[in-house]
Amino acid sequence: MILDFRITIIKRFIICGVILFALHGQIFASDEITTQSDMPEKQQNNVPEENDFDESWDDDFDDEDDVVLIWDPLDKINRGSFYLNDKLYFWCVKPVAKTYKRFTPSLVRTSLYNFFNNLGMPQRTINCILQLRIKNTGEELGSFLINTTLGILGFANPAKTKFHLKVHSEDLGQTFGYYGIGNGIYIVIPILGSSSVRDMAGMFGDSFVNPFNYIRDPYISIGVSGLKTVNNTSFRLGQYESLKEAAFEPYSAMKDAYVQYRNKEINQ
Amino acid sequence: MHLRSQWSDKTTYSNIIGEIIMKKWMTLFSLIYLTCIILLSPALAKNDAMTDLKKSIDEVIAMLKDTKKAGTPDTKTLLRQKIFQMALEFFDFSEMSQRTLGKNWKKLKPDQQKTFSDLFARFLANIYYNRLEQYTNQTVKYLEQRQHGKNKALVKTVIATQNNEIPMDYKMLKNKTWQVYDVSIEGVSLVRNYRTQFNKILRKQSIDDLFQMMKNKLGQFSDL
Repeated sequence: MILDFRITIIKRFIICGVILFALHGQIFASDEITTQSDMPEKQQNNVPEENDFDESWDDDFDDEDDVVLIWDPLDKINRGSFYLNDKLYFWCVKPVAKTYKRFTPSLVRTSLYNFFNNLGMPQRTINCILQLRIKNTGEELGSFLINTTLGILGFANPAKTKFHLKVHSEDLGQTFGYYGIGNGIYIVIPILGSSSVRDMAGMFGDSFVNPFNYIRDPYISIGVSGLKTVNNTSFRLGQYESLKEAAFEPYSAMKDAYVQYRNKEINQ
Repeated sequence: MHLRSQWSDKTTYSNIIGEIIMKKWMTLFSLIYLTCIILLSPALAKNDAMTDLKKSIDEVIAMLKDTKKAGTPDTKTLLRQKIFQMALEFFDFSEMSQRTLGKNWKKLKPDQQKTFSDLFARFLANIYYNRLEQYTNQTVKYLEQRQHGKNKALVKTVIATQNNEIPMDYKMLKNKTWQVYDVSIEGVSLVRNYRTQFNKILRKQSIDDLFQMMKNKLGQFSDL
């Protein structure tokens, strides 16, 4: 079966796939959403209260109206990619992830999730260092050590459950943002989803510290990236649907959500 | 001897004075303390944003659990109505509509404003209900609240699911009770998100087109 499948794939397609998946093994900027979410409590300890407060209060409707959150000159092309990604999700990723979820025990999925998450350590640590977040760097290294040893190669997550260490979703795009570099242009990448010039540059930089990019065999590399994508998506089924259900203009909704979400990540 | 008695007299005398002074200070301090408590107590009283928020969320969750136990279609329609009623108390829909439309709000005639608020309220209530239906057994943690001026507050909460935590912030306005006028999930503000969408739509289409769009969207939901 697998061999047949391999033969039918055109070579070019493989190469394209390898490049795209190797750049970032996730669809719709996916695993940031889950790894990110541990952080609110931490943030409140670090950030001076008033600043944070005022930031979250700047939405009074008369002064903020004309602020364009991100420049989108590629609107037409982006809408094309958005449409493609939408179809790709409903016709391919979702059914695969759904079937996968049905036949895979939740323990296996969680373990795999932890494993992939643990291997994101180099990227997170380097960006914590670049942003001079010493405490977070320590937490990253600590949880990696604990999870790789006590957590059996990272399949379990004792750093979080037993030692209450938190991982911090950091990437190079956020580091750029931290030093005041703006988004630039909004770009929807086919397969990968929302991004911007800054975040794409970040992804490119981060890809050098992604362990999966050092797998030489393209089949294994594709397989691993695919598994990661499907496994992560299996935790997120229904989220994209909810967003679409609640939106009058899904494209604008997604764009705005992306920018707001990234801004929040950069600020903490 | 003579000297000594003089000394002791003096000490007792000063002791007494000292005691009187001490007592005075003590009473003064206790008075200050008491006034502080009395003055601060309204601020510490139960009617703060977080308590109101927690109360309504707890109420909704209790209701959901009850109907899940019963599980007949009748109780479900009843639940819909109940939740819509609660949403009307929980959210300040007119404030939300104003903030969502922003500058476009001022361009509308009063009857158009009313139409918009009504449609938007029904739309949001439906979305709210659909999200609640997905509720399984997540817990809500209330982290902190901050007051901004007299009548605004921000309450930070976290929804803890099986393997992650989703931060949810509520911006609240004090009317009769505290009412929510914006919700941010993972840092994404609902009002701001809809504002971007409506701005985009109204740049090319009229407000009547938007109403039609909202009505179509409402048609997707089973009615409230």
